[in-house]
Amino acid sequence: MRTVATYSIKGGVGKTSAALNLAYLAARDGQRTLVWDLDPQAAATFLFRVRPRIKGGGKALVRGKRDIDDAIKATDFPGLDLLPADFSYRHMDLMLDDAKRPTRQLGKLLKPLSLDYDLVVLDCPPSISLVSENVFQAADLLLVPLIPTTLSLRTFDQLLGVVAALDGRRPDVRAFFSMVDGRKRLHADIMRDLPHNRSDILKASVPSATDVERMGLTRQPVVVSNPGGRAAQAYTALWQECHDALFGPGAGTAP
Amino acid sequence: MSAPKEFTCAADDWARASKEIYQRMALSIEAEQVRSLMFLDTFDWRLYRAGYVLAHVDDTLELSDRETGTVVARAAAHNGTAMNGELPGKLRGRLAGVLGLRALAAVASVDSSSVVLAARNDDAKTVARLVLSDSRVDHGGRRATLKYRLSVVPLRGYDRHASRLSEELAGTAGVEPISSSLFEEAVAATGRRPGDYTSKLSLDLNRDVSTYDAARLIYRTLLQVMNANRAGVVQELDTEYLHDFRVAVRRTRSALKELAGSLPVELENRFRDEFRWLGQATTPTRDLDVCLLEFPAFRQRVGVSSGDLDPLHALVSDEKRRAHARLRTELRSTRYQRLCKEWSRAVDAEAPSTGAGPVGTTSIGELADARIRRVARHVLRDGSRIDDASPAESLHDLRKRCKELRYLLEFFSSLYEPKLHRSLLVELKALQLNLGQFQDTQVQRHALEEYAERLLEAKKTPAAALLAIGRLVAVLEDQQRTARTEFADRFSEFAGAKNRSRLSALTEARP
Ligand SMILES: Nc1ncnc2c1ncn2[C@@H]1O[C@H](COP(=O)(O)OP(=O)(O)OP(=O)(O)O)[C@@H](O)[C@H]1O
Ligand SMILES: [Mg+2]
Repeated sequence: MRTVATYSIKGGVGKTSAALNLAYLAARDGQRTLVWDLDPQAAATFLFRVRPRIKGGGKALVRGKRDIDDAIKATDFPGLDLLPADFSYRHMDLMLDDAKRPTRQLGKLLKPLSLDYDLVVLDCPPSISLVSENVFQAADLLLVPLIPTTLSLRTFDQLLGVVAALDGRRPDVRAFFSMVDGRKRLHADIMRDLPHNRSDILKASVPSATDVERMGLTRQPVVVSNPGGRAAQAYTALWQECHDALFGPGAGTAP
Repeated sequence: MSAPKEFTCAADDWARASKEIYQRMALSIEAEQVRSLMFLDTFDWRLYRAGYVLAHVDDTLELSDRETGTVVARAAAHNGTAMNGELPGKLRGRLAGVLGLRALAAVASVDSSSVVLAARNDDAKTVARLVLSDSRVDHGGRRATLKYRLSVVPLRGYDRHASRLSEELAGTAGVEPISSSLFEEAVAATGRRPGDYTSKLSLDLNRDVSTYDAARLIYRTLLQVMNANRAGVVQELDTEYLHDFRVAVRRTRSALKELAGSLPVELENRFRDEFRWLGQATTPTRDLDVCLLEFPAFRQRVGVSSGDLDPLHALVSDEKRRAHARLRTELRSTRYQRLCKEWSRAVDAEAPSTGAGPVGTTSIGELADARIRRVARHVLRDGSRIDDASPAESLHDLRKRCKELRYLLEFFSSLYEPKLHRSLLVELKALQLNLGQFQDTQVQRHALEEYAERLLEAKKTPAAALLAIGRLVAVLEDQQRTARTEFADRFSEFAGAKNRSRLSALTEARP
């Protein structure tokens, strides 16, 4: 089982949109996939049409007092399940802080799922907190959406520094350009001026597109609602790169 | 107890039933699927008996547990057929022991079109699915439609909704919980029943039945075996069809001898000749089959340069092809057709074409006792006369007698005390095994010597090939000698006091 987290300190950059589309594509490839919506705003949960509530509350779950299995919901897509968000997640930092090893608690909770799933996608809230520290420990790949501005590149470099300073296990960190507007000179310039040897920035970039915006209405991945669209193609290329980063290049898709 | 998850519904009832269900629960079409699958088994249902179901679905062979339906192994299927030797490695290893010499053949082909119906909640989230499949079965030109099959597919975290859907279905008129698997239904639609063929004879008789009726039952049953195997013999699907066919012929001939007089004498005489002819027609092919089946063992016995047996193998295969072509002609001949037609009329259950023969009115219990006693006496007498100096023929004759005894015990097993009957069969089989080894090695030896001659005449045969055959003949001679040495022990065991008292108890003690 491999774990990927869509993560950014900044809000509204396309984390949830990417998490949903990539998870869908993984499941379609035959990977048994679980999305864990860690954001109390519950955007991913909403998009999957699942109620944002965990029976018995998020606290018991996060502290390991309640079986994670019981909280999992099937989505409408084969091979793709969801661990929904719960409103109580807004206190997740406090819940985690009570655990024995507060930064390893999420990873510990995920372990028993490795029999059931090939891939876990963590959709994170925008913050740097105890939750994100847990995510850094639990993830194999940290996928960071970047809106092409110089500021966001600098923020990304700071994040690389934070991860590099972590003890023990560190995730692979990769960024991709998100909400790219071809008409904006700035976007084009930033992407052109990027040093070609930056392997931590993926080649696929997701354009700013109305079908992504409309996901809130369709409540479906764009890969389903508009499979021929530019955004769908971009997510497909992005999944290919993530797949290689997670499972090794050339690795076949799961059985 | 939770409601069942699978149901059937007659196509005609579905229109009304579905209306009723839709009124209580919103269902919408989510997907449609078309799927073809083919169920495979051996002619004698070895997979079924071992608790398996094997299906060829798209490009995959799926082996599942017959009871639970869970897939226990899956392998990619290369070419449409999945004959014995061509099973993908993973399955071959697992099933070799079960299949033995038998080939796999299609028992039913199913084409299904399914509709996936989704039950959704207020958020338009799918909370349960209902798969409705409409299947058509094709088998040898027969076509049949099955009842609709409905299966409720629960979604993780939404079990309550699936249970509700199941309950709704269970409460709808015309919708019944499923009572048989798709495999069973498909097979039934072809007119067969899983396990309907076995090479074992199982006749249900009682002592008071007239010999006339009992003999006809035996003959009819054996004729059914011949008929069931004929196509497999002609198509050469595997070697067991011919084996079973021949056993049925031999049993018929044996019954014609031991139950002589149950039918009119002239009729019996005529069919004795006909079945001798039929038996002989099958012998060359069977001998060559046995020889070919022995090849792996032959190769092992001559050791390292086993390729030296290739010229011999080619010759035997060639012979076999020719013998089989002749056999095919015989099985299509008017003589064969007439035999089947007239014999089946003569032994018919309700309206036989002939009346009883001179012993037809005797009760079968009385006759069976007498025949078993007589043949057993002959076995004991003939066997005790054999010593180290006796010619091979005397062992062959004894083997024939043993076969007669074996067939009698098998025909009449329902008349005797089961435990006693079983112990006697065990002892008899041990003796037969020894006699069989003796004779088979001899037949093979002679055949090999003859082939060696012919390969020699063919000139271009490498010397190594002839040497290898020579070595093989020597090995067989050795084996035959061993069988001969062991005979004395085997026989004295069979003829021992314990078994003798079993023999007399069998035909005296009434169950
Ligand atoms: N490629 C895109 N083109 C157009 N709109 C987009 C694109 N990606 C995301 N959006 C829109 O931007 C908003 C934020 O996207 P999304 O929820 O994916 O980001 P996020 O990083 O998960 O946000 P948050 O930090 O609030 O969790 C949404 O309204 C979404 O529809
Ligand atoms: Mg989000």
